[in-house]
Amino acid sequence: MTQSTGPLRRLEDGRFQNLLHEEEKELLSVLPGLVNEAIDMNSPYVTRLFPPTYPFDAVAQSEFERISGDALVEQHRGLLNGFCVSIHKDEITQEELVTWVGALNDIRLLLGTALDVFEEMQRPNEDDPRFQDFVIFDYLTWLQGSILDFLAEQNHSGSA
Amino acid sequence: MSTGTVTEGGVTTDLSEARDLPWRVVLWNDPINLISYVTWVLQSLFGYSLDKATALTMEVHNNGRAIVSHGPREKAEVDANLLHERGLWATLERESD
Repeated sequence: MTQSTGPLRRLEDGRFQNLLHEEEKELLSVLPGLVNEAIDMNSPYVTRLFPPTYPFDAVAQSEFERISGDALVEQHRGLLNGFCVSIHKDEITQEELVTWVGALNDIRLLLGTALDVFEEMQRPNEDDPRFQDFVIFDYLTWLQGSILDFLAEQNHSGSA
Repeated sequence: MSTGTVTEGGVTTDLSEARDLPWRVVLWNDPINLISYVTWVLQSLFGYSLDKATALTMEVHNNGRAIVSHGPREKAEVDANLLHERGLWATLERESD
């Protein structure tokens, strides 16, 4: 995949120019659907999207899930769907960029869980069947980190 | 959440009062979330300064967990849910635990 040197450029009106290549946009618009499918199937790989609030109190956990569970699912779906819509836009608002960061995090949580990622983990060799998935995971990490840098600059400038 | 009273060993506890005890929101380390992301979430959700958010994030990273918020149970549950919406792993525990 051809990777852009930088995903965004700040515009004078506070929005951001989307510099992602078409190939990147194509990939990024497919991934949210995979997360949604995993949620539908209650895949074990989505456990990090729905962590227990009361891990040692089954009654309290059940009640908490009853009250907030559906809203949490919808929150994740909203991020993923919003990302799908705005990824093809030429100019992105800061609000949309915040959606991007959240959606990218959800995708990374799913993929990272499936790949059993741990800290300081090295990408496997090219002959490893997981190699391409690690390439995508590393790309998503780079993209999310780059966007966070933009948002941090925005905070420092006091205009966020 | 359940309310009312429970009696155990001859001691009756009013659960509505127990619910008012302060609760801690514990944020846990995980190998996927970026340090910069966790810092940004803490700033965005709770209005923490960059210094405070960075210190809490590094406490999570180095010690495995950090208390990022506390208060009445209802507030703590809202805060934990906000963190879950952002993909962070938060649990609740009583301050007396």
